[in-house]
Amino acid sequence: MALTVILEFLGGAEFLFGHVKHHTVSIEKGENKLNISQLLMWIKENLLQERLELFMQGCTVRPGILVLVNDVDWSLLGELTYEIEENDRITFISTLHGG
Amino acid sequence: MCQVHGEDDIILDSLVPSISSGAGRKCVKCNENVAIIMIGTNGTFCELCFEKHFTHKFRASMGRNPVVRNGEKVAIAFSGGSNSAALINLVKEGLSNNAARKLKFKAGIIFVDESSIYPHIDGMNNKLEEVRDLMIDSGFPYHVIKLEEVLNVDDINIEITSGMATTSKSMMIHEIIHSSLTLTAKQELLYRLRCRLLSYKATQLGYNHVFLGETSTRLAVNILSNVALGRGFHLAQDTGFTDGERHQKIGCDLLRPLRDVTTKEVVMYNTLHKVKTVFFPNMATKQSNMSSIQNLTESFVFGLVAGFPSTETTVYRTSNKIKGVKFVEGNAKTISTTKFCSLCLGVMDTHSSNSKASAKADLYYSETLCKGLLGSSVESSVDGGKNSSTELRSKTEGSLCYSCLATQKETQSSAKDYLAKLAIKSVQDGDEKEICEKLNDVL
Repeated sequence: MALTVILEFLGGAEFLFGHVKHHTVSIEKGENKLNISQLLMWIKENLLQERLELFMQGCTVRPGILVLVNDVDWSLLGELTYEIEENDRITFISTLHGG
Repeated sequence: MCQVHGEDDIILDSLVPSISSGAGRKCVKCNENVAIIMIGTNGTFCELCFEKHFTHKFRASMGRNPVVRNGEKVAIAFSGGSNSAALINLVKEGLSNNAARKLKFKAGIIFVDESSIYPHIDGMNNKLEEVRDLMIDSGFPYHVIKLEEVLNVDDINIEITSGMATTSKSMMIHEIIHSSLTLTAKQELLYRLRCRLLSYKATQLGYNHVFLGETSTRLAVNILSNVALGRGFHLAQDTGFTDGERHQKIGCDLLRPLRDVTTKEVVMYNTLHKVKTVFFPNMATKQSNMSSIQNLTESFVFGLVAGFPSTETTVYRTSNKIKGVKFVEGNAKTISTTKFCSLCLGVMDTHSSNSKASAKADLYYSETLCKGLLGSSVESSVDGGKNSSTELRSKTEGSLCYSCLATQKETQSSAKDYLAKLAIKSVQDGDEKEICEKLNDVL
């Protein structure tokens, strides 16, 4: 089963994704639900073009990059454990000086 | 106590905030709507309450620091980034007729075009067009000024040895920035030049104040990196609401009305208001944490904030308690006799230049040690053996504060030349002032 997700990279984060801000992707997830932690792994393998350390630190995003799910702060939704639903819009905004 | 699987595990588990229970949490203010942002560790706000909270913080900091008087003109320094874009939006709302307490000043926008120092980056022109569109959309009068115009502030020309027939100002500024040896020095130099230019240009264009978009997050980073750079003496001016009399020699003051809000709040505000931003790649883009003191401090602060959100406020509130060097009001002599750094325009912190126990003396001592190890041949080949340059250098060093001196030591040819000319200019100005004063005394 595939899940359609809209991913946005803003505030300079788009530089690591071929300068493309908006991505609509479809992710094969099987029977189980997909959480953000798994989504990050998927991004790391399929979307990220360079410099992993500038986007991720350990298994989460680098501090300074804000994550919003449908314009809601992800810390209210359980951060990495949030289970993604069909057509969710997940925004990664870099607030770091160099993006 | 130290067992891995001890009883303490249970206590530890209960200490870690149960994040998953946060889903669908209510707003702490109205207790009705579903929260959309978490501020600090427990502050959950809904859209409406967040909006009020955010605008209130901006208006409160303006109210606490009544620097801008009714009818004055204020230039908002716009970089394309989220902080300054939010600031424009806040001012626009504050000036609109349906604002609760209407702001009573006139606003304009100044954008500093730094493209001449990044000639290798493609698509700059498109980005500049985007910025122009945003500024037109805002409805405020706007001005695009080039970074190289900072050379006009003091009417300085420098020689560059690129072999080109014509030396434009844009090439000069490129040389000045890129002749610095370290990224730390480059970032510091650029920041100082930008402040200089904003203050000068805003005054020329008829503005009374400049608004900077620095948030508490940015200030927390700046406070720590400034201390690391030896800039502790100027901390109050560098991170306070106003920079005081610092730029009075060349222009108006720089204000920081967003200093009570965090970058996270700014980003949320922009998302809710669909405020558009344009990201310009800069010297920190795609650089590692360790590339400069500023970048390292930034990742240190952000790393702490991720685990302990109150770090940010703790650090930046410290700066509220620091008082800068103040002039005695009404005493003109104090101002005229105080020496200022010719680059950052801060009050000089190296009075005791003759003292052997000063930080400045230490800087020289370590330099001599380095030279001793490298051999004097290196130095003479760099200098080209000019005697006049040595004299020039000592003059430069006398008019720079400790931190700017450290920056100067990490620069080469063009930047050194620029700093030397700045120093000569400030010495001349000082002489003029002295003569004027003597004349005044006589009359």
